[in-house]
This record gives sequence, structure tokens and C-alpha cells, in this order.
Amino acid sequence: MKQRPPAAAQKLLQRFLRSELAEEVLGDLEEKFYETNKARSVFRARLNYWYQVVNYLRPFAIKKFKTNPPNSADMFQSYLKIGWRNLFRNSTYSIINISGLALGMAVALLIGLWVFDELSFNTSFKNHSRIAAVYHHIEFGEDKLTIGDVSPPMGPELKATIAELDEATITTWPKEHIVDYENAPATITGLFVEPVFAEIFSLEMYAGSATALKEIHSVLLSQSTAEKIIGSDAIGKTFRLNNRDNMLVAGVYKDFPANSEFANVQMLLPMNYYIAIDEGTAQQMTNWEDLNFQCFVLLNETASLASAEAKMKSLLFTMGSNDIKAIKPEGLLLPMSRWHLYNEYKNGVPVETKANLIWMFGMVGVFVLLLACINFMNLSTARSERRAREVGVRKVMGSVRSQLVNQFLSESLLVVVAAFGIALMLAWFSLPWFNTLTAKQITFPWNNLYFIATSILFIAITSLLAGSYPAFYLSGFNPVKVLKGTFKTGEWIKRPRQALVVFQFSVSVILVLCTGVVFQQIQHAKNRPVGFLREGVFFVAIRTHDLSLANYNSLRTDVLATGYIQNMAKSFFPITGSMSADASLTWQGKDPAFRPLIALNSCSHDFPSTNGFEFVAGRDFSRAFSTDSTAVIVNEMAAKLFGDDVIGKKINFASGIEREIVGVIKDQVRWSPFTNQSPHMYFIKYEEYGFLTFRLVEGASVQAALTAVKEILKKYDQAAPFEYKFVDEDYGRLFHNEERIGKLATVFATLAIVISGIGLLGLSAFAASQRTKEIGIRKVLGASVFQVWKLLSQDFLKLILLALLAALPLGYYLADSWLTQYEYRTEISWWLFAVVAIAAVILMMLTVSHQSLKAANTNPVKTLRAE
Amino acid sequence: MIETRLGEFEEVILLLVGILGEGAYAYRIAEEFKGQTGRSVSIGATHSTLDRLQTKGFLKSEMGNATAERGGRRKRIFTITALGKRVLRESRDFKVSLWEQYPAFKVNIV
Repeated sequence: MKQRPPAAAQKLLQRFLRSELAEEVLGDLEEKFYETNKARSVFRARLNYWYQVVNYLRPFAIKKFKTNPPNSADMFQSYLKIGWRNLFRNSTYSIINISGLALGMAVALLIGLWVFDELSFNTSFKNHSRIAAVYHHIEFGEDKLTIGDVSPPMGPELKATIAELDEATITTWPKEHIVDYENAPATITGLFVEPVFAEIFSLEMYAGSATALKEIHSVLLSQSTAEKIIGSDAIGKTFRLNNRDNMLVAGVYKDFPANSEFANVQMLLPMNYYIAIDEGTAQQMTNWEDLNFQCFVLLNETASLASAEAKMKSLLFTMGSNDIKAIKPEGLLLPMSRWHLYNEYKNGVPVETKANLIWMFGMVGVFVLLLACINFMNLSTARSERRAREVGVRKVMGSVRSQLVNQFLSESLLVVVAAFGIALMLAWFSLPWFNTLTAKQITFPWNNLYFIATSILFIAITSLLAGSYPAFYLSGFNPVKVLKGTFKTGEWIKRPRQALVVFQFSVSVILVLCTGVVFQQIQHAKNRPVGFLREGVFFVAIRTHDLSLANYNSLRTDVLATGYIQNMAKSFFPITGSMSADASLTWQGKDPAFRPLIALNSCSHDFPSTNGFEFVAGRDFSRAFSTDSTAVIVNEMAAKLFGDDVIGKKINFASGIEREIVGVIKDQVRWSPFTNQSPHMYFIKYEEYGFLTFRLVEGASVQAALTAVKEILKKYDQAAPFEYKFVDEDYGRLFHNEERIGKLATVFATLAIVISGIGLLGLSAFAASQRTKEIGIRKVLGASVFQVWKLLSQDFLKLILLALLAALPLGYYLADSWLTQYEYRTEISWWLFAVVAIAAVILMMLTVSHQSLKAANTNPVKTLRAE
Repeated sequence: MIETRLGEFEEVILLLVGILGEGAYAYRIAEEFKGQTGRSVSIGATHSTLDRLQTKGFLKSEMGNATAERGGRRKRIFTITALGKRVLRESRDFKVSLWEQYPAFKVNIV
């Protein structure tokens, strides 16, 4: 059998060997192979063949791989140059194109940053995935409330009994304290915490140590607060807290990030100090009934939240007395990821109002951006017909289709990058304004990788979308047809363009409609009768020891003596503040199973008159009746609970005191003006701490009155800072959220309208310019300006009407579903829709007419002469 | 620029081409080199040198006839050009002149 050279080696050789050498070399090697085979062995022959092949790996013998370098870099440069020139040649279109796109992008950027900020809330804590807060569902008659308030023994009990938890700690709720350092009192929000708090929430110390929380008279200040009230070297300094005790600054921690739960906590105080304040606070620590604290737990790394939750579910019910058992507390652990957006419950079911708002604005951002992209696409497709000739010439000159695609895509990339640059600047400049509007402290994440990646992806997608039509459609033209002039883009290509215009316009109208409804709702709530006086009334919190001990009557006499103040009262909660609530009240004829929750506020005799309560039955508190020291005034809702003819009815408080109803007042707005109100009552009790309410003499100088009151309060307590709030301003705070939504919606709706307007302007200008000749001929043949205007405008009018047809019902539906979250809500009025529809038509027709009339008024000689 | 100086290996290969005459193709030359010097050399290396010598203009080549042991493939036959011959001669003369200038060998050379 004849031996053959190794095929693999041969193949390899042919792979790299220059083809013109193949014959001789293969021949030589084969000759050598047979020679060796004959003289020695087939193995040696094969080995040698390989050796010879490898030895042909020499520059002279190796194929020159064709690297005929394509000049793509040069071509790209040329595309950019042509694109750049095109931008300037059609400067109007370019400005419309780029500015519209930039606006949309800027809006999307800002909204994106906002959404990101909201979603990343609380993620700065190292243990954020393991932290949870203790909540309870509790029942009051028909209502099921969900509260984050727990009693102090909850913390130690949870830690001791539930293996899934690494830590459990209680804290108070954030409260304002008076910090007096070198006679400069300031109001600082503080939180009483246990030492383990620093560990759970990964407290970062700037100076000093967090172990100070184990002491009694030591505090930790946030860096910015320490800087503000003491200076750069705060450690070791002492200040007077609430004009009561001297506290040592033992540590300074880095401020909690603005988008975190404790952002407003400026000072951490040891729980040991809280316990040491007085006997009452010491007793609280073992009292299961005292639901006045928060409780946080740190889950074991491997444990599941659900199993820990199952174990603590009935803890409060088991430990509590009958009063606690009566409200049927059912514990739950709210993981940190849900604290910010998902912490509200209604009847035991989570309500996602806040999260929905975020998604709602997120969608608005996406839509505004989409509108801008649509503009961009529409304008580039409209203009692309003009470039058909350019494509024809390029093809004749030998351009390959892929080159044309590249050309159009790179042009679109150029525009998108320019627009993105402008958008970045716009967003950056408007960020401070946006932060005020949203009450956020968002900074530009220049060096955030996600941000950069998203931006690049975004640029790529937009330019691909906008450039795809000319790139793939135009590049497919037959150059002969295009250059002969018989080419005409089909009717079918107009359809998507019109559909996009309709879509764009619908979105804008819907946004405007919804904005209108938001404002209607705010106005509706503002017009709600509040049942107390808002003008000319202000209140001052009593936070310092000496002021709390001041004699009420002599203080009141002094204040009234100034002549600026018509009346003064003291109460535990201010008229615009929260109230305590009690379900343990009883009265004659009450069904024991019926335990309605009644809101309570204790006050001095003068509180109703100072705040201008409106009585529907009975009378105000009066010092003339000595029995009034146990009197109560109830609102209409409460009166309904107690039965008919409530005046004179006795109400028994859990403390054993029996109180008599002396008056019924109109229902007041004491919670959010957007919700149903609840039964509540005012009873006489002179507490030490609380609020002083002052009502100005009509026509008195506000400034003079404030100074006078300040002087008098100084007389009673040197250390008390004079911080007052006017009732109307404080009440206005309740509208902040909705007003913020309203403002944001206005901005976005306006921008949406502007962007669609820009788009329409561009399209109408294009439509007019395309028909220049036609218009010229029509005019020569006697068409009037009106006829030409009609000719050009009616197409757009049809589109606008179509858009309205889609937008009005959809807008109604969306606005209506937004309103359902409010218990006190307005009816959506038809006139709002009519106004928006008419305004939209007028606005858009003005935009279109601007171009139509310009075309209609052009001298036909000019348009027809030019070729 | 074409290099015109001749290396030692190149010179030997050039001479072998001259010796082999009609049978001067890469494989044969490589075999002859081994036969004459006792040193083995790969066909590739030889071919590479032949190619270089051709580029320098000392050799020319054309395809010869095919034989069965080569699988019916033709061989490339190299022949020395006039320039090649002159360069060989010059190289020899140069060395001889050097030998003559070396006193220790002067006597023996005659």
C-alpha cells in the first residue's frame, strides 16, 4: 500500500502558503516524503513532513491576507461633515428638532433622577435588606388602622424570644428639643435611642464614639448640626437641653443621607436619659399599654421575614391587658424597602398611593420623551423625501447600501448627541428649582456608572429609532427613478406619521386635563369649611421647663394687657396638629361592643373662643360655671355617636373622670382636608406642656404683636426660643403634597404641549413647503388666501379632532381613577373638558395657521419662477 | 533597495544551484547541501534563501517538468544569472586577495 503524506499537514500548508508557490512546494515536500519513507520509515517521513511544513512558515511563503483597508473612518468623518452642513442648511428644522428633543430629554432626565431617588430611599444603610419596623393592625369598631407605635417592652421581648432576630430596639418618635449652647437656644429634632441603634443603622461617626449612647447625659449630634450650633470642634462641649439638664456632646456622626428615614434627625439622645427624666418615663419602660415608641429589628442573615413575623404576630395581644386585647393588635414586620413608599394601610390592606405617584410621574416622563422622539422621527421622515435625490446620486457614484444606512444613522446620532448635551445642561440648570419643587436634595450622578450606561443606551436607542426610517427606507430607492424625478413617496408612509401626531397630541391633552383636575381637587379641598379661625391666629410650642410651669392665668393676663392680643389659650395639641385618640370612652346607653375611636384634645377654657369655633348647640366653656372643669365640647360627628340631645350627657373617661357635654361644634377639618373627618372632642385640662394659641386684635400690627408676646414669654422663661406658627400657614402645609403634584403636572403638561406644538409647527411648515408650487398655481388661478389656508389646515384639523376624541374619554378615566384615592373629592366638571378641548384646538390651529398663512400670502411669482 | 552582498549560506546555495544545473530545485538543493556539508537544512529554509537570491537578481527560475514521485506536480528549476556568476566570482577573488595578503599562508598557496 502506498503511503501518503499526512493530510492535516498538507491542509495546514495550503492554508497559509501563497497559492503561486503551492505546486512546487507540495511537490518538493512529497518527493522528500517518499524518499524518507523509502530510506527510513513512514513515521519518520510523516514527522519530517510536519517539520518541513512548519519550516515553511516564513514571511516569503505566507499568504498576504487581503487587508485592502476600507476607509470607514474617513467616510464617517464625511458623514458627520455632511450631517453638520445639513443641520445648518435647514436651520429652522434643526432648531425645532434639537430643541424639542432636548426638552423632552431634560424632562425625562429630571423625572428619572427623581424616580431613582425615591426608589433608592433608605438603601444607604448597610443592613437595609435586614432591617424591619414593627407595625400593628388594630381594630376600632368598623375601622382597622395600621400603626407603627409600640410599647417599650416590645424591644427586649422580641430580642429574647425570637431567634430569627439578631437585634431589636426601641426608639422614641422624632421630637423637637431646645438646645441652648452659650445662650443661643435652637430647635433641634432629636431621637431617643438605645446603644444598639448605632449598630443596626450602621451609624458612621465623624468624631467621638457612638458608645456614648450608653451614658445618660451624653448626646450625639449630626455633623451639620454640630457645625451649626457649636462649631467645628463640638466634642466635649456641653449645652443645656430643654432648659433642664446639661448634656455633653460625646460624638458627631455623619448626617443621614437626605433620602433616608432619619434624614431630619439631628441629634441622638440616650434612652437611658429618657428613662431618667422622671418617674413617669421610667414606668413607661415596662408598660405594655404605652404605645408611644417605635421598634426596629435586625433580621438574622439567613432568617426569613415571614417566619419572624409569624412569631411576633400575637405578641402584643398576649402581653397586653384587656384594653389592648380589645383593639385586637396583629403584629407585622415592615421591611425597610417598604418604609418609604408602601407604609400606608387602609383597613389592613396596603395602599400604594405614594408608589403610584412615582410610577405615574415616571410614565409622564416616558411619554414626554416619547413625544419628543416622535417629533424627531416625523421631521426626519418628512424631510427625507428631499434627500431622495442625494441618495440617488450617492448610489450612482457607487455607494453601497450599508454605507447609506451608516450615513443616515450617524447623522441622527449627531443630532441626538447634540440634543442630549443640551438636555444635560437644561436638567443641570433646572435641578435646584426641581429640588425645591419636589422637596428633594437630588444631585447629578455624573460619575454613576448606571447613569452613564443608561445615557449611552438611551442615545443609541433614540438615534436608531429616529434614524431608522431614512436609513433603511431611503437607502432602498432605485436611483434611476429618483433621479428621473418620477419618484414619489407613497401615501402609506404618511399614515404612521399622522398616527404619531394623533398619539402625541392625545397625550398632551390628557396631561393637561389631568393637571386641570388636580387643581380642581386642590381648590375643592381649600374651599372646604374648616370650622375654626385661620386668619390672625398663631401658636407657640411650650418646650422648655420653666415655661411649662408658668402660671397660665397670670401669663394670659400679661399677654392680653399688651393690647395686641384679643385672646389666648393653652392646649395639648395645636388646632392644626394631631390629636390623641381613645376608644375606651363610655356613656349611658352605649353598646359595650361598640368602641368608636374618638380624637381628643385637652385645652384651657379659652381655646374654643380663641380659635373661633362655631357652635351648633349648647355653649362654650365658661369660667362662670365651676362644673366646667370637667366639661367637654364635641363635634357633630361625635354628637351623632352619643345619641339625640347630647347636651348635658355624661361621658366617662378611662381615668375614672366623668365629663359633661356642654356644647356641640361644627365638624372641623382636623386631619388632611382630603379625607373624611372623625368624631372628636375637647375637654378642659391644664397640662404643663403643649401649645399657647394667640388671637390678634383685629387690625393690630402683626409685628408689634409678635414682639410684645415674645417679650412676655421671655419674662417667664429666659431660655425659651420664640418660634411661632400662624394657623393659616400651618393649615396650608396640608396642601403641600397636592400642590406639589399640581405644580409638577403643570410643568410637564406645559412641556408636553410645547413639544407637540413644536412638532406640529415643523410638520405644517414642511407640508406648506412641499406644496409651494401647487399653492402658487392655485393663487394664479384665483384662489383666495382663505381657500389656501383651508387647504393646508384641514388635514391637521382632522388629526387634532381625532386626537381629542381619543384623549377626552381616556383623560376622564385617568383623572377619575386618580381622584378615587381621596375621600373628599371634587366632581370632574364637563366645562373643564370643554375649555381644554377648545383651547387645544385654538392653540394648534394657530400653530398650523402661522405656516399656512405664510404660504398663502407668498407671491406666486416668486414660488413659480424658481426652479 | 536590493541587497547585493552575499551571505555564507547564500553563497553555498548559489554554488549548489550552479553544480546541480538542470536539477536545481528546492528539495534537490537541500539534499545536496546535506550531502556536501553534512549539515541538514529544511526545504523551507532553502526555498526562502532561493527566493531571496532571486529577488536580489542572482537567480532566475522557471517551472520545469513534472514527475510521478511528486504527485504529478511540476518543480521550479533555478538557474544562475550573469549577475549571480559575477557576484560569485567577485566573492572568490576578494577572498583570494585576502588569503594572499595573509603572510602565514603565503607560501602554501602557490
